[in-house]
Amino acid sequence: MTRTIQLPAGDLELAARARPDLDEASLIREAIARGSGLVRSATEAAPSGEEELERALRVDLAHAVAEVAGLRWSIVSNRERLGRATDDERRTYEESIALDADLVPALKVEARDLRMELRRLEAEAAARGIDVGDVEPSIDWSSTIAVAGYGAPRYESAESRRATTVAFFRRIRPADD
Amino acid sequence: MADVLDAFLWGLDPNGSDGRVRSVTIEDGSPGTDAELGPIVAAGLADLVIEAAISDALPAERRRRVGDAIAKVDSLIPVVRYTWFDHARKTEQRERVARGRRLENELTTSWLVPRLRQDIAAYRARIDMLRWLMEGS
Repeated sequence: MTRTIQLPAGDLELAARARPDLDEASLIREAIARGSGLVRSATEAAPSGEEELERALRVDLAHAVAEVAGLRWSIVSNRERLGRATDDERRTYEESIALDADLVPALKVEARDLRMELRRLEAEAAARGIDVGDVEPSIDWSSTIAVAGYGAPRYESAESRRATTVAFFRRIRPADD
Repeated sequence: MADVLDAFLWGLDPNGSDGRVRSVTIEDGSPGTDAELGPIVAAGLADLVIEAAISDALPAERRRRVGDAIAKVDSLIPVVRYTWFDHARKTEQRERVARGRRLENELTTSWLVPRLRQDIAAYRARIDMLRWLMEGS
């Protein structure tokens, strides 16, 4: 039985340069055997002798490499999710701008103006003796969206910022003699 | 062989890594899950590379080179930890913002906009009726 795993191509290429005597399958088999042995062995408390000292250092190196490689794996495998989250965030922002800057303000202004016009006509009709309470269709005012006094937000553009800046400097310019 | 060792160690930095991956087939029964196996293979490959890099040196020099390699990898740990923290934070933050904004947009398009259109239609109908009545009066 075999299984497939994904490994950084750069690691494999560099290890193959260091050990040209091993083919890729042997290289990986050897790496798994060594890595398991080193990562799972604890550093001896007080290594004595040159060989033990070097072995302890190689265990330390293996632990450090395994820690960084684990983090690197997390980062690389998260890149796609981060890219998707970035795209989603931008797309929903653009949709939100389209709704809040264009569609909703235009509808609210239209509703506000029609409401004012309706109030004016009702007053005028009442003045002419028409009982506006009997006029159908009636409006259930409590269920309408409140738009009285609504002002559409004014979004800045490059041109509006330029005009504001020019106006500011004109205002503070010393008076001509 | 020192250049291969340097390249291997700096390749552990995901900021410097080209991100290329290769699918390799291994014998089943290898220890750990795929996520656990990656670090083990990296540690094993590092040991193979360091062994080749120190093979021609005397014991003291061998230890010095391994010590230098440990220092290089240790210096990467805080950077890589921060990079991972930063990626994870950005991912969660953007997902949360997009989720909230998507709900807001859906509420606007499915509730507010139809309600405003409904109000506008009702205002227009009553305005037309009032005008018609006043024209006749």
